[in-house]
Amino acid sequence: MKALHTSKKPQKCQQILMDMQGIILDSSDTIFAVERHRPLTEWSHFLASILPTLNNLKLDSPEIYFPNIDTLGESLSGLYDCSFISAEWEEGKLVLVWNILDLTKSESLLKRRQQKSQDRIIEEQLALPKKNLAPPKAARN
Amino acid sequence: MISKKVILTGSFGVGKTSLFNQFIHQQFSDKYLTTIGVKVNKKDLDIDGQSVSLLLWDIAGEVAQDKVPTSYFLGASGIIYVVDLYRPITFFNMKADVEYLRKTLPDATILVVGNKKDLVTKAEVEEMVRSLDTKIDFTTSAKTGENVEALFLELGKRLIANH
Repeated sequence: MKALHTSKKPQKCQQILMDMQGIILDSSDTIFAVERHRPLTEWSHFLASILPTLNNLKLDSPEIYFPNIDTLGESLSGLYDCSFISAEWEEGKLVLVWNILDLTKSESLLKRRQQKSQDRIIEEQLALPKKNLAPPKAARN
Repeated sequence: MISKKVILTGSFGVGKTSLFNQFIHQQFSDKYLTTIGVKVNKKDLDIDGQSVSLLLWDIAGEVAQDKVPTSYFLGASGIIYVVDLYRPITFFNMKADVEYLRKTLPDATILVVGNKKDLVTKAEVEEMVRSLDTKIDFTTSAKTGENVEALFLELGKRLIANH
């Protein structure tokens, strides 16, 4: 679905309004532009995998929050926080509001820190003697 | 076409992303690169004439599963819980983690996978598996590709059967 978005814009937040099938009704287009009236699930594996769950959202349901999503869709990698709520649209129809926060600028710093910490821990763990590291059955009950 | 959300989870550095990349792209890198958050990708399988689309979530490793944001588990039908056969300390939380996952997703199919089998001998694997009271369903090597396709095919079969 190549025509769905254009290159990223400098803004940090975007709001997309879609129906329960993931068809775009409207968007602020502040991070990336999307074509209206097309299913976002064709482009976003992330959305495709959670849409059945989002379909259970009611008007009074709490927001569902997904931190640190690496790739929102085809050719749109980065790091994003996403949240979803349901809202009432024309003629009382329930729709989904997808809020996106672009954290891509922080990604390399987060990665560097986490990599350093995990590399150190793995190195220490590999230096441990291999035998009897798994706790014995009786001790774990 | 049946679509199923599948999660790869476990401690950091056990090879979740390597299994993900080997299965989807048939690629492997020896260099360990940490994962931040979640990477999502898709692979379609044909299993005995039935098409199934696996929507795979490769989740950043946590030492215990109760540290993973609970929203990540929403709607998951399959879980691949990975431990590192070369780093037995990654087995420590296995029992508690698998119990937590079963409680969080009672209807999900959970497969426990010992990865990096290329770094240990067959005898060492057998000894480790015997010493544990949580069953390891598959032993894999993301590096050589051994058992990787078989793991996902088995999961796909079980997901179709439970559909």
